[in-house]
Amino acid sequence: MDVVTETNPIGIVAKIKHHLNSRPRTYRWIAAGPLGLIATAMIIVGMVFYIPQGGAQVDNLVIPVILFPLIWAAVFTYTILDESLPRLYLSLIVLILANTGLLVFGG
Amino acid sequence: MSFLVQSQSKRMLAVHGWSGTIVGIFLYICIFTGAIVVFEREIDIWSMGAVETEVGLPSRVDHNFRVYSRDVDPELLEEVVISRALDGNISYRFTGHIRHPDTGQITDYMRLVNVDQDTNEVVSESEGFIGELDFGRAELSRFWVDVHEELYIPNPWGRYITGLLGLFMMFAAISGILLHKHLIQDAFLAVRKNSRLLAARDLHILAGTWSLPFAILLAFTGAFFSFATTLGIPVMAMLAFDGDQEALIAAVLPPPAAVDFTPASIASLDYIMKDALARTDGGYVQSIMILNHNTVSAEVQVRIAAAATDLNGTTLAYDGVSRTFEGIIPIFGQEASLGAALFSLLGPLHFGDFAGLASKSVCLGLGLAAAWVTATGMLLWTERRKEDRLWRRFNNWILLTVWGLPFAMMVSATAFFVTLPAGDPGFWVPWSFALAIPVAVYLARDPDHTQARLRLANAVLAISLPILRHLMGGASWSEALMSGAFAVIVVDAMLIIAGLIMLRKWRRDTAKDVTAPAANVQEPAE
Repeated sequence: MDVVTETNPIGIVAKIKHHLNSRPRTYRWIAAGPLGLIATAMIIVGMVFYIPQGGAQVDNLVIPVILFPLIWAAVFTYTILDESLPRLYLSLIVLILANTGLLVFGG
Repeated sequence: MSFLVQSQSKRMLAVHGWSGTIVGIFLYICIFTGAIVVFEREIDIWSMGAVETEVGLPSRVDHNFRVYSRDVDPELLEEVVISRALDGNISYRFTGHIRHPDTGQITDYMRLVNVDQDTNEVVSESEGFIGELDFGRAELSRFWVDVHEELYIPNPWGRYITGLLGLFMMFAAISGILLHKHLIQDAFLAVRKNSRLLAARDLHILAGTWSLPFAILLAFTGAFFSFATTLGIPVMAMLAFDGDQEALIAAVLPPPAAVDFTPASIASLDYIMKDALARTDGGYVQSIMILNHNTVSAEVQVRIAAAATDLNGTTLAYDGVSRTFEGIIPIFGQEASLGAALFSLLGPLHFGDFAGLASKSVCLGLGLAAAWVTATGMLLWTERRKEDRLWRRFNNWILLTVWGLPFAMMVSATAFFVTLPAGDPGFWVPWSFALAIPVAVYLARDPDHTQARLRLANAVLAISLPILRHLMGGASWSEALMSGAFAVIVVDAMLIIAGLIMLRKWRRDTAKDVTAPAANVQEPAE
């Protein structure tokens, strides 16, 4: 059983899970709306660093902009489908942080 | 079979239904106007009263170009574009980049010269900053395109909204696929004709199932066109280029060459056009652009319209002095790329203009089917909740939009023809559309008669528009037939047929005292 205390990391995780699950509709709206848009923006920026530039040296810039609506629709659909809110938030935060890492250290 | 567990289905259905109903009205406006403006060029020919159907430039423009560029301010010789105007005349557009006295910004300043192709006489001349000049635009189709692209809301907000509509349309289609329990079976559903209610539901499912791939394609390409400049490029520039959009554009577009202003005479444009046509597989010369005229850095770019085997046109570059062919100008960068290939697919797929009238007609049909699916989906959803007064009222708003939109569009077309002789359709087309809205609301004051009244109003307008067009000086059918302007006859005929069908349905509904088919639908779409 998790003990919810400030010093116990497992307790903090349980507290966050409990908090997310206490207001599922609100947190799903946040995930599907602003958080989903931020994740999409970071994904397309991250793509600049791993999509090959191609002979014209532009593919890594053009393809993410073209795919932007498709990625947004996919992220939005995922935020509606995931059964677990903590897992949904963890996935979006990992996506945002990983692509931020690419932006900061990839260039 | 559905791949979703019950809770997932429930959430998907809730978002599908709510988003469909809330944004459905705007989505319907966007899809319906989009389906109509697939025939933008045909509407232009029909509305402008022109029987000139020749496209592209004639084989000789060099002489006139030299004559008309002689007296032009050298500052305006930075960029010259020669193309055919909508009225059939040849347009010479001399452009320079000059600081605007009001805004202080470097702005395009143009001199426009329109020349009659046969007599070589100047038909009209004008000069000014871009935005202050009249390009002889086809105001009717331009307004309908604006409604489709940005709901006539100022940029960038209109684009944000239509982009979001595309996103919701994509989600509606994706959730439709995921929620379908019998996707294949539904594609071959036999419509139950014994009940009008069940028939409406079956038709919604049948049309919705078949139009799913098309809906995803249209929504994706449409959302791209709305978001590319308003969100995609700014976001990319903000995060990857420290907010410098010009740096991003410079990284993608071919770099401009350094200009040497040493005077030099331009090579023959007629020769360059002939050479460009010989190097491409069919097509015609859509336009010629001359950069840095009268200098040794002069470059001529010839735009060849799409040939039968191409989806897009080609732009060929020539040295403006030695007339040496320098190569095909890529869309992005300095050579062909996957990104450019993908980008060049988006336009033809969205506009449906890759195989002439055949692909446009398919696009119109599928677009109208998608609009119909959106409308019936909303009606089925509200019908299920009609015990609630709010939903009942919303049901009437949907009927008002479904029938009021073509009504307002036809009122704007009527205003266009009436004000064309006074030369003021640019002002009256949007205003008449706006004024038609309260009239449509008045006609929809009684929910039991909304559909019948608006149907009659639409029928009267559809049948009278071809007559009005002719009375206001438009080409007769015989003139159109003689000159090959079939668009005039086709658009007139489509309006008359649509008007007669609506009149027949109005008479049938009135005779049976049936208020609205949707009012009979008692089962939800799902």
